[in-house]
Amino acid sequence: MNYPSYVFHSNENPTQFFFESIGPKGLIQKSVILTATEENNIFNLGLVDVDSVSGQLSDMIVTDNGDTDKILATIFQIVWQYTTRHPTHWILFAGNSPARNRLYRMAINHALYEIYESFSLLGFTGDNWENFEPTKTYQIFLAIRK
Amino acid sequence: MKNKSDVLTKNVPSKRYLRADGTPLFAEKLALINEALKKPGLPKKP
Repeated sequence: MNYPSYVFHSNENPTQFFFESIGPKGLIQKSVILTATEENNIFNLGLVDVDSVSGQLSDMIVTDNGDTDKILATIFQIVWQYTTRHPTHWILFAGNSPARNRLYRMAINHALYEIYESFSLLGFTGDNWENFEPTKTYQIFLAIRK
Repeated sequence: MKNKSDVLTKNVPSKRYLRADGTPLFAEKLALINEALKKPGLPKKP
């Protein structure tokens, strides 16, 4: 995906990544965490803020630092890198609200062609999984590396 | 300079992350996801 993104890194834990959001509200440490589900090799992707003093994590803050597109592009790069190393792992992601899921859907639609080059994409309707359709509302998204 | 992400390994541990109040991060979302993974329409799981 050729959209501007932040440089990221991981520590010794290969399921946690870090980058810094830079915008009107300053520099905010972000972390993408892949959390195991009850199914082997299927992970939930979560985005959290990292408190710069305490190091504590929060998934409840709406940062609004004016760089949503750049953050989403960074998340895509992280997923791309992770699934390059772990091509059989599935990555799920879901927003904390319908509005956030709508944001994710819009971002996916914006880069759909590039995403389809590397991933199959499914959505969970609440009842079943189906191939992603750009105009439909989903509760959860699933990316599977091709 | 070598990117720190190069330290990624094939070993993928499972770890619980906590909020400041001690509750687990993503707990509600994981509950929804684990239920959703039982629903039809998924390809053969990895």
